[in-house]
Amino acid sequence: MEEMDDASLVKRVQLGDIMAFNELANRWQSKIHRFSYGFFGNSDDAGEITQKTLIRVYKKAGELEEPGKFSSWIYRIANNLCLDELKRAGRRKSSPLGSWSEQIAESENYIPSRQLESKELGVIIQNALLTLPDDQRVVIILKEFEGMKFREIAEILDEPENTIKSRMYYGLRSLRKILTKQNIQPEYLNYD
Amino acid sequence: MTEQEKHNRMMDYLYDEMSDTEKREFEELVEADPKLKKEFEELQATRKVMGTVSLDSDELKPFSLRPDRNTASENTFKGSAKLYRLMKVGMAAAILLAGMMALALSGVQFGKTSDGFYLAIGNQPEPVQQGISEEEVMNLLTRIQQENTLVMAALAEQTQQQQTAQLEEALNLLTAYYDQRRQQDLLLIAEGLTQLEEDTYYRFLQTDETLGDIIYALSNP
Repeated sequence: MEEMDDASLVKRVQLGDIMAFNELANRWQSKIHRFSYGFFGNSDDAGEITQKTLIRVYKKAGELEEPGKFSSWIYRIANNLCLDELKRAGRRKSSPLGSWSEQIAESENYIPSRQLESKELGVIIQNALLTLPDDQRVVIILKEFEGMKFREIAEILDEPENTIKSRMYYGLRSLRKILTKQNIQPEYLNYD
Repeated sequence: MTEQEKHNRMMDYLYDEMSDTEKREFEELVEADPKLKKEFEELQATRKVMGTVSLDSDELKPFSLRPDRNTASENTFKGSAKLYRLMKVGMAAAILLAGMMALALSGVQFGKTSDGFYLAIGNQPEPVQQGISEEEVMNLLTRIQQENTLVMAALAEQTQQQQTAQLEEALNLLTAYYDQRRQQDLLLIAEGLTQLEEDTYYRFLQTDETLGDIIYALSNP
């Protein structure tokens, strides 16, 4: 089972092989969890979306006509579930642009250098991601954290490749602004 | 090249999705455009920051389906459902049989006479009550209709009387209110007129006095 690629596993799942599905779930669980975590910024929601995604994969595996495109397919399922969850929750789980950074900056205990010393840059990035529009956030997650090509992201989101690049560009610019606002650019954004 | 195209190429360069030739072309483009160069360097730095972090969160609970247990539980469920259906059929048959035996043993009599159907335990019963005829039913219905009509008419009349009384009461209250307001207004007008009359009188006096002073002054220069 270990040597089989995803497409072969999907074919076996389509024949009702539960062990093949378990292997697929084992391979993809952490990726989908990371993707969802980037979307919501908390483990509970990420775990819920991961479970829902894997359950849907199991139920709908028979409908996947091209097992070779399993990667795009599972991310598309996860992305749709994330967007559904945001709609269902009335967008409470997504922060408006700038609200988080202003909140942090106004905090009396906020010391940028201290945060960086305590290696919480990941938290800063994560929270900055939450302030981005959904369409930019998902592109950045798939590109930066999942290492996908623009073409693959375009296929997942069913958008033109140039649109994806454009979202990436504006997403990076927004992140740059947020990080600059946090006064961490002298140490971490130094490109000289 | 449009700004949009420059941005797209910048993304291709940043994420290494360009051929070597395209890279050289883009580098030349960046060197020739200071604004583009600055933006490129900023986004490159941001990208580097992104590359230093990961989105890993807490440990995941393993997700898997368990075929043995599921199959077993499914089989158990299916077996239970089948057994339950058989039990229901058996119970229904037992109740029917018990009912038939009870009827047979208790001498229940069921049949029809000229007066209608009967059901009895033991011997056939004698009719204890004659049915009512169609004419009597019609009479009864007519009487009920008449009584209903009378009751409804009485209710309507009573309701109308109540509404009339309420309307009269409301009109009386309104009339009294307006009358009171009119009296108050008249009093205010009367007071105003009296005050005006007094003011006019005093002004006449002042005028007379002033005229007198003027005449006196003119007469005695």
